[in-house]
Amino acid sequence: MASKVTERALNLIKSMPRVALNNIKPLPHTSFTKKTDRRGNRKKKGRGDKGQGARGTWDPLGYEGGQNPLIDTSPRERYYAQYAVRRQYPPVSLLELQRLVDLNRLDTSKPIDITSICNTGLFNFDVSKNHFGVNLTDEGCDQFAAKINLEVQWTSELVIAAIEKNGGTITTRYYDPPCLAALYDPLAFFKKGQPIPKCKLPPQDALAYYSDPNFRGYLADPEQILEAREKLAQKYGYKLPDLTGDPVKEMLLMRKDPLQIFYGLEPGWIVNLKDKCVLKPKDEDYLKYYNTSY
Amino acid sequence: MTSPDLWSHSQALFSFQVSPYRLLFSRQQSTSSSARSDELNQSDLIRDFKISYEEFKYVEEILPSPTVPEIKEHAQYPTPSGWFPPNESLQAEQKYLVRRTKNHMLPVYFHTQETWYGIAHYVSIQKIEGDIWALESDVREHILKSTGQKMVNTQVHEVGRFIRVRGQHRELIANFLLGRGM
Repeated sequence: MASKVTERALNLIKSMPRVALNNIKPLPHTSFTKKTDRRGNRKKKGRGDKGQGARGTWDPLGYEGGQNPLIDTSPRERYYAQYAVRRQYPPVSLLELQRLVDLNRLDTSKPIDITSICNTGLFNFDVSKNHFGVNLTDEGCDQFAAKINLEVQWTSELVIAAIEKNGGTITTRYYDPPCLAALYDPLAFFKKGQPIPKCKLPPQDALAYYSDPNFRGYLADPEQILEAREKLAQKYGYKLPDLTGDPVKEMLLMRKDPLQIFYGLEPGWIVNLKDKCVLKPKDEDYLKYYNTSY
Repeated sequence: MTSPDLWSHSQALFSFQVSPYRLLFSRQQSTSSSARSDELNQSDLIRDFKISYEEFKYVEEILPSPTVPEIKEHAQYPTPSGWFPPNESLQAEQKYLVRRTKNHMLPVYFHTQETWYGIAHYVSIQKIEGDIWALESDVREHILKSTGQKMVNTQVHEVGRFIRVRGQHRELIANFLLGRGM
């Protein structure tokens, strides 16, 4: 019986026309009509029923006499969505960085971080405007020729390649706003006499970036970063300079602790500018607070 | 059964998460001594420090320099970023001089001004010494020659020692001045 059914089905298919553009159609329940009218009832111009409210007024802004207005029919492109909450990274280009090096505004024999860039007095940012540090952009990546140990808050792959091609190293590092205020103007911060803050971990949406070896994140595995360096050199076609016999290898590999914000100074220490000394509290609870990350 | 007054009072306490005993205590304190709450509790202060004079060198490294550092001599010019120093022999040939700024850059600035007919673009040359009118005529000639414009508006301030040129000619003027050794 079953064989007869199969035979009949096969014969039916043989006698049917070939599948072509003229005899295909979408599967049922796959197409849907776009609902253009988001506001629903359009009889009363959104002014309610009768009276002064309905008659003594003009049409609402964007009302097009009953047809679907432009604001409803065109798709929304929210470039400034969540603007007040978003993290901002003011740009600094590689060309500007090279100019600072050329004019002796940055010391390449020491690691360069946001403090050394701000101390030139040529770049500023505002922590109160949700600025979270600098974004190093790729303008002037072909001219860049400095060998530096750099720490920035945001970069692209091309910038990383430009720096590593010259034998330098780069790290992307997150700082929370109170730490950034201290890093932006260390003198003003030390004058307050407050303990050096500990740096928080990055927020949830930035954690992936700062633990990515491809962006040289400060929370990434150092061994994976070594691999990523070689991969990037192959991708852009340059030979990675060997750091083993380098006289400045120690400087190039200097890194801050994830809690630390200044080189050589630990969180919780207090700087006395008048007596030119550093105070290190011995209290156990105090030390426990400043040496644990949350 | 609770009275409505008592009920609303207990609700208010609950919403502020303050226990009635604490509220009472703070009220007593505020009436007796209001000034004492502002003072620091001396027993909470940390007094046990280890003082280090050696590690102050790390602080000194961070503090900004009060002056602009002097530039080092480079093996060849222009430097990788395209900077080169003023050429004194070329400068001596000119009737005028435009000094570099403290940041070793040319004092040529672009700025805009909103007017009733739109945005006006200006380029100003500052820190001019010597014959300011000779510089003005040279700049004017250079702009007319290289852009092919029929006219260019300029403004000379003899006391302020600056020239304003109408139009978006910042690069053009900067390259002209660099060519004259400024």
